[in-house]
Amino acid sequence: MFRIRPLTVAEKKDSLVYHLDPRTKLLLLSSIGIIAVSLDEPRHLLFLSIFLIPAYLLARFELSKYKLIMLVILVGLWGMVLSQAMFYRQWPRTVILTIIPQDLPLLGRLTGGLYLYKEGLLYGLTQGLRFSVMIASGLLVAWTTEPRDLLLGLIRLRVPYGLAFMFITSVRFLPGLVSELFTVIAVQRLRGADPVKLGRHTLRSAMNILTPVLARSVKRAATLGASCESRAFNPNLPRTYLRELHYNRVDIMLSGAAVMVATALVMAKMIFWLYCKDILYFPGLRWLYAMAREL
Amino acid sequence: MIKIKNFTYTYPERSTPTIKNLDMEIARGEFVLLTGRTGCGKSTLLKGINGLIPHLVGGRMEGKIEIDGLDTRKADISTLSRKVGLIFQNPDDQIFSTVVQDEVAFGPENLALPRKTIRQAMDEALKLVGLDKFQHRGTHMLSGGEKQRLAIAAVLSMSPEVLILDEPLAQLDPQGATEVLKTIKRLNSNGMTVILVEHRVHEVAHLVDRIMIMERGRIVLDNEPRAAFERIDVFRKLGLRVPESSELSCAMGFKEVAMDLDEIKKGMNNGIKFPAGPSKGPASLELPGEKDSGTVALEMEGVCFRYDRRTDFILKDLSLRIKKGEVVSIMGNNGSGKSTLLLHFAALLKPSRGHVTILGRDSRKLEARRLAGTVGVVFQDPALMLFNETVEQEVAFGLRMLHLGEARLDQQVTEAMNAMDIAGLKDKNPLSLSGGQRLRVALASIFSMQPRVILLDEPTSGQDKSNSDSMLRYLYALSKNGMTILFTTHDIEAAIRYSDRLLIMNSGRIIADGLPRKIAGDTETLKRANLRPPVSFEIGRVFGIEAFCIEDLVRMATCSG
Repeated sequence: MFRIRPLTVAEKKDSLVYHLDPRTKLLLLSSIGIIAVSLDEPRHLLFLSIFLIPAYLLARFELSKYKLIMLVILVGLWGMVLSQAMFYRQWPRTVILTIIPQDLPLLGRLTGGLYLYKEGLLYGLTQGLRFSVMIASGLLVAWTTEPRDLLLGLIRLRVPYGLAFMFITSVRFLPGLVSELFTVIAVQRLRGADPVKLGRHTLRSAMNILTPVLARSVKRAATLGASCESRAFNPNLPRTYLRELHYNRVDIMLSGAAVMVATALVMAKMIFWLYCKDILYFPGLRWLYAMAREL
Repeated sequence: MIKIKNFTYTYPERSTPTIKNLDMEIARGEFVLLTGRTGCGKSTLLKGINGLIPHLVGGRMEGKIEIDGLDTRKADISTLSRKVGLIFQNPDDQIFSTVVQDEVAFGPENLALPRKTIRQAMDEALKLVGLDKFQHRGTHMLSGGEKQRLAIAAVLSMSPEVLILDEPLAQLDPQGATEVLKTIKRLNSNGMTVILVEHRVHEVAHLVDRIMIMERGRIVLDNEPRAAFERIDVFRKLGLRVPESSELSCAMGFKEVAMDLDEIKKGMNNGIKFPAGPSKGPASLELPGEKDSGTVALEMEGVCFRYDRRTDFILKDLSLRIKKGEVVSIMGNNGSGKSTLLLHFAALLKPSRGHVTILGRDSRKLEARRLAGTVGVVFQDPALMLFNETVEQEVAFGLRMLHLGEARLDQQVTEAMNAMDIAGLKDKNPLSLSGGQRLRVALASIFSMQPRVILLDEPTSGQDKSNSDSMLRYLYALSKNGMTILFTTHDIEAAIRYSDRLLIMNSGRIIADGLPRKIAGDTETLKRANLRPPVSFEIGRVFGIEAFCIEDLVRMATCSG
């Protein structure tokens, strides 16, 4: 009933994606995020998504993880494409399908007509693909990197220790938290409630679920805090580390390439933006403007 | 080693002090058991010794606490952490690393020690608690006892001189508790000063040099164990369980309190004896006897269960029939499948193979919600069952979901609250109550629905004796009205006293099923499940009698002098 652990923890296998230094993975993750935000064309975003497939195949995850990522991506894409296609409010917009005609009695009047717009669909697809790329790359890093390595990686990338520790600790307690959430839902079901049913009591039900889980979390946080403090934890003081990370040639190549591509893309977009705003124009960069327009 | 002078402490935003004018001295290398009722101030005192009070908790502190000459008020937490190590009740709440070595290295890393020193400290600490082979193991793969030993190693790596433990056994099964106690005793034998807060006095008294009892922020008893047990009335009044040998010697009027079996034997030679020869012995207080009911309430047939195809089966080919009105206790160490079995009878889990029938209905076709009012489940952590703003609303919640009429609802709520003795708390927020009170509210919220089956997952865990006894006594009384009850427990005496039938589980199988007394005396079977018979049974066996609880022993003992 409550077994969600496999979905929330990293695996450890003998494959390149597992052997990469966490700093490389974090740099790749950041770069992919920047590239995803910079690209506006669905076909380029789709290409970026496809780029992640080999990494997922190399990871050889448990089947449940593949199912989860597919579910998240499909639901996210479907939701965004449909909602944007239906409720797109920008101009120009081209109707590709009429769901409720404006002249339909009652419903047509009430809604003012309901249509699917081509521009909305493309906009939704762009947003959906951005979301998918970020989720997929984030989960790939989380599922192939142990939290302890992620913590060291963050610290070596100069993220403040207190912040990195807080982030990793919250990841550590996530499976327990979700398991408690399921327990609370089960408890309420056995008392006749249907806490996950949507309706006029949704807010009340959500509160009923969150109250015991949050109370338990606060108690746990207090114990954890006391335990850390009594072991001389102080994020503001210098500390040493038992373990060290090793950055090898593959890491240097991959992270270097990712950072370079992301930086080049951002630069190209900025130069194009300056040109569009009539701030800066170099005739010799016309090829760059043409390329940036297409991205 | 520890000097406490006139220590008074009031928590922030409270008007009355939790600890009042407390004076205490603990010598280097002493092993002190600190006990008392929930909320008496034990944990607060520990936080004072550790320096969390006043450095982190705030509040108003008066008086002075010195650790090896170091004033806790003046020394910073980092310095104090090298003097005093603190272990909490639930290891899952204090272990935050995913790998054993990271958890142990955390303290020395915070002290900015060189890598070589950290490694040395880590190796030594892990060796001291017997986890030296587990360095690279994931913390989630450890058993409860191993986790608690890891928590101890995590403070030992900072080389403290004092170890204080706040109910470290509360969440552990018997095997885990034994492992942890052995570790603590070994550390104490190596010269470490230990302060152990624990309700289960009977399980730890033989290890300690001194027992202190706290009540309402004051020390009401402070003596070495033998002298402390001479005032057995104080323990009884506070619902604390004393060792069987001491209880027996007091009940039989020994001149001196017996601390172990040998001393009982010695006392017997002075004119007190048990009836000669093996005896079945009289019934204990609540000996239930088999109930004659033909109706099957719950049934399992060839049940196997696993969460997914890649994992091992948690339940292995279980077949079981539970009759209406039966009270069945289930014992076994953590991971034996007890809770998984319970969840099948609430239709929260469906078998991978085989069939489960709940009150005549196939569980596969049942939704847990449809069983509301018919099957009630009390989970191990009652706090997860409480989400309403007041106790009264909590108890009424299920009935409202069942759309019961107001008059009947009021009646059932009042009955349930009275039965659990929580009527006086009806306007309080359930989450603001103590652990024992929370459990009673959770129970009342189930009882109020008057279900036909009640399933309880370790209801005695973390509860003091008086709380456990009153709850189980009430449950047993309910069974006489036809309610079927299943509960898991680590307390073999509770299983003997308050159930008609005992199941012993080991690695997903039922290895014994029968009358509790019969199984509790089957040492071979218990050993297979890493369980032990009650101490009373072991005492009785020496004298050739069959006793399963202290009442049995006392009743059977005759004074020939």
